[in-house]
Amino acid sequence: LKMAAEEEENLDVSDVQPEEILRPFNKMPVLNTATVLLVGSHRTGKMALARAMVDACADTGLKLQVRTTTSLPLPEENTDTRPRIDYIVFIIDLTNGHSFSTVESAVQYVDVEYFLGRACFVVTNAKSTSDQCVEMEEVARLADMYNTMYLCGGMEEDSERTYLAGRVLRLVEVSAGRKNVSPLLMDLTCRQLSFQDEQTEFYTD
Amino acid sequence: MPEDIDTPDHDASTPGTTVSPDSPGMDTTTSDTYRNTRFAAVPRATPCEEGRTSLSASRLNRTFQRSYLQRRYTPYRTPRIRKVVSSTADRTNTSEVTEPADYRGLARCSLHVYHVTPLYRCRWDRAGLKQLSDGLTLHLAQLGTVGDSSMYRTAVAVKENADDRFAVEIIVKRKDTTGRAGSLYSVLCNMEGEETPPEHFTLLPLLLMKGPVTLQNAVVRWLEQRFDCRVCTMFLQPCNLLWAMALGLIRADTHKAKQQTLDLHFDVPLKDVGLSKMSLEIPIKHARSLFTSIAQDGENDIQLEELCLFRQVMETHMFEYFRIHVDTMKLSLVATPVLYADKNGRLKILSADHVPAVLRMMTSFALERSPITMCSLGSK
Repeated sequence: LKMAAEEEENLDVSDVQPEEILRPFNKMPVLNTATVLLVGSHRTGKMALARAMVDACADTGLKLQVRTTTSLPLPEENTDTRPRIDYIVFIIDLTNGHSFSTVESAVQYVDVEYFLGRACFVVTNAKSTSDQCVEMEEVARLADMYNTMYLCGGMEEDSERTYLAGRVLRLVEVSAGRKNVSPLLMDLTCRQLSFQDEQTEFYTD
Repeated sequence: MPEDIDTPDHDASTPGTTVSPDSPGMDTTTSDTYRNTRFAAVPRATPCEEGRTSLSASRLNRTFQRSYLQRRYTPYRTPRIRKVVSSTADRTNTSEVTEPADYRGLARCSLHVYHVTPLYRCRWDRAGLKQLSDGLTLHLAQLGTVGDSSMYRTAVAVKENADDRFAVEIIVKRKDTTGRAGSLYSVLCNMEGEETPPEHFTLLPLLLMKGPVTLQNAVVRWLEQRFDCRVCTMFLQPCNLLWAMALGLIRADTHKAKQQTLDLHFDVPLKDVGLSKMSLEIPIKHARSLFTSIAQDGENDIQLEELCLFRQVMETHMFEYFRIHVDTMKLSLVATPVLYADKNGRLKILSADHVPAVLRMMTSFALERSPITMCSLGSK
């Protein structure tokens, strides 16, 4: 109860305006189209991932639009012309501490509905531990806080990038309504709902 | 995370069921056990990045912090509190009249730091030490050129500390030159940590070496062969370097006349443009006053959050005044008037008074990297 009181006063001082929050259901969906938003700071490989995703779904009949941004909230003047954002990908580069802090501040501007299967974190450069500034533990903690899965992948080579794009695309298709499964149900199947002490790998996607 | 005591109002995992207010309550007891790392006896409040809540997702966070979610990832758990004792406390601790351990050999020279897995089957009595030094001499004889049967003289000694801790000193001297040129001085020690290793093993996780690199490699290989252990260079991560900086700031003597600075070197990811390193120099007085204003006064334990706050303050300052995003770069070297520490495992302690404290910190870093602590933490 003390925590609840703290939370109330924290809400008062937070500077997130309600109209700045990105919501999924404000606009109508369009048949056979999906829009993905990639959020990440500079030099995290957003454009390359966007191109890989568009190439990957070129022949699936899904018209994919990928939008990238370095920070949220998105500018207000485009609010009317922007289509409905079906999926959000937050990109964190472990060699770049700034990318982690931009993602941390960006997740505050996203409605809770996105974290029920319509968002994920992508972690790059997780293999080269010698250059890392951000600890994997912190990313894992962030992903736990928002209960959203995270994918580790590489952005350097083409094969790694297409693989990562394929994984994200499978999640986007569910979120766009192509598979007739609710994204929340997909999200549930990715985790174990038992409450024991010993836990093994959760996200086996 | 300690925020799970709140009543949930959005239970997202099981959308069909109704919200039950007693589900987070039973997890608070288990979550407290994960707070008890080796160093902290008191559970801490929220770390700095969770202080800001979001309008939309904060309620979701608060409902969901089950303790089991916290333990699945990397085996490297950074402790939240470290004891960074100031130099005044050092003097009161050594109330014994016994001769303090001779740390002069380790001060004012550049040391390579390694972390060592537990050593198997070593006898630390006189006969055992004699055997060890003979073995090392034989091993080093293979290093010498043909015709040169043995140019090295080795000595392996055990030094006891006031706290009943012992350290192993390995000295390798060249026979043809006198003095310290070309000779190796290394110390294997364990300054902290109460883990008892399994039977027949000795836990001496920190190895410091000073001397030529060929000799160092040879001694390392001999150690690995003789004691069936692994000796690895301790690459200091940016968070470890920040702890070293905190130690340096706390223990710095600000009354010295000459201008002292805190140097932080960063690796810049712009090698193709031609810029590979950036160094930041801050006068010690300012850095120290900033640090004392952040750290809670009167306590000798520095919290991880305070260190993060210090780092964030530096980053915002650099951004506001110079438009440099320091957080995109990786901290590679920290230089304080007390010690220099580098990401490649090189260390230099500038005065013998600070050696015990620095060694304690390095031992805690080494213990974090050792598999014994990882296993023990995993089984808790």
